Amino acid sequence: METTLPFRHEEEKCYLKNNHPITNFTIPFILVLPFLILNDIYLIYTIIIITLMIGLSCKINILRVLSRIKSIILFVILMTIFIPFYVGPSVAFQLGVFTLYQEGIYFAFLLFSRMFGSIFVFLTFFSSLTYSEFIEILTKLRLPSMFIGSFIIMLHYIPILAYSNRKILIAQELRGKKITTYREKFKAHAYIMGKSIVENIERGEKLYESLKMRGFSGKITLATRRIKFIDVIIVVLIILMMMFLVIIDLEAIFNGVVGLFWQ
Amino acid sequence: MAIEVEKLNFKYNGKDNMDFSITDLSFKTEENSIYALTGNNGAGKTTILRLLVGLLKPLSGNIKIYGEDLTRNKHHLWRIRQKIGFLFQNPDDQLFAPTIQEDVGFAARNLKLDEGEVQKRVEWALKAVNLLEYKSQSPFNLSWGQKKRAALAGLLVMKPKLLILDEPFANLDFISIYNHLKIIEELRKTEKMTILFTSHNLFFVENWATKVLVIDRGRGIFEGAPSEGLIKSEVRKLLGSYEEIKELIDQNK
Repeated sequence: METTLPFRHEEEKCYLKNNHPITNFTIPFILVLPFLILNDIYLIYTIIIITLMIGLSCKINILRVLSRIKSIILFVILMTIFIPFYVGPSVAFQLGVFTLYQEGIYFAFLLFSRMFGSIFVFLTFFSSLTYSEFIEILTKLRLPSMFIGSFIIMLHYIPILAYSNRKILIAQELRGKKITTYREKFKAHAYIMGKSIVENIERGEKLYESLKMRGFSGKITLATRRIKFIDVIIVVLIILMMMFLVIIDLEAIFNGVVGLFWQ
Repeated sequence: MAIEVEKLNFKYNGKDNMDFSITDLSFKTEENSIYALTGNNGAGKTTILRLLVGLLKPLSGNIKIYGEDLTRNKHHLWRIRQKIGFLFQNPDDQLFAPTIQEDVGFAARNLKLDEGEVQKRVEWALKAVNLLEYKSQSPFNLSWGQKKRAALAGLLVMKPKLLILDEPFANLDFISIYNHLKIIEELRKTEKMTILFTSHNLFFVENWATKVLVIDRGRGIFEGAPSEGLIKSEVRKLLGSYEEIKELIDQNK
């Protein structure tokens, strides 16, 4: 659970835990939405800096957030790296048969920043939620109970699957298999995955039977708490801050700050 | 009677060509007693337990739980199941919620109890299994023995009259088995529960159960007091005895 899922431990200190889970769940949406709509790269980096400051001041483990980003950043790079070769027309560089376009570079950079920014903001605020608070939010959002039930079972099995895979890999290494490269590791995981999936489908069936034995009828009921007035105030303040950031000239401020250090 | 099983027959998928079957099985369990099912691997112990809680459907025969016919009350299974606490062999098959207290409270909430009563029962159940201080933790972080106790607490909140335990002592060391057993025994006395358990551990079967049913390939070959049954030659031959195994080891040294 510690490393696989992006949630806070129950005992872990975090000042955001005093907020209602729905507040912490809503904030990243309010922060991310404007920079997904507007083509403002300065807004993206302002939001990243604000999130970083909130994270650090509220004792969110930013290093853990970054280590989680590390595992998905490769896909973000892969999705954006080829854009400069296709989106034109102003040529920036000519590398043999390959042409890099100015518009493409800007667009790739914007897209990368948007994706990185969204992931960073969401992971930071989700790290302030515990697993049970996350489930509470899904329940409060009136999502279908079958979906929530399936989601709980899925989340439950992710760490178990990861743990059993790790154990099989260790057993293989102890019997002489050498896993030194990323490719070998990937291959070893692929072989194990089939077995693990079958095993976990069987486990899922048993879990369903055990839930049935305790009265499960498709609806998961968990204890919930009420939204306080302060939670609404926080959301309103965040919205006002975002409106202010959209209105002001962030480019001038960034240039001014950079200029201070440049001279 | 807590459980009455009469001429129970079962085959997986109802197929005749399958090797495994439960054949003409009958037994009765008195209220507040400790009843053990023992036999070798693949004898059918878990299958019998699954039939007793209605997870499997028998081909023929009757199962009564506290007088209610399980085989004829398919539409009232939940009502009958409220009297039963079924502990799975692997606690990971049972624990699912983000925290222990939420997992333990799951069945109580399904009983539509008010939140105050749910909390009261959760505290009581966790205290009974000595896990109260872990209530806010994830079940995933517990040791095997603690997971087993957390899974047991998840059944206790239903205040069941019958506890069915599938290999409750599996993968536990000797002292942990004793501690586990002490908790269950205490609950049996205070809550007037009936216990039905399966086990390979003949030491605990002999010293804890009031009655034992020895199963061999889906058939009951002995039912009675463990002290009588476990010395019978056919039972010793089937299950093996401490002396016999010791002798074999000595011979092979």
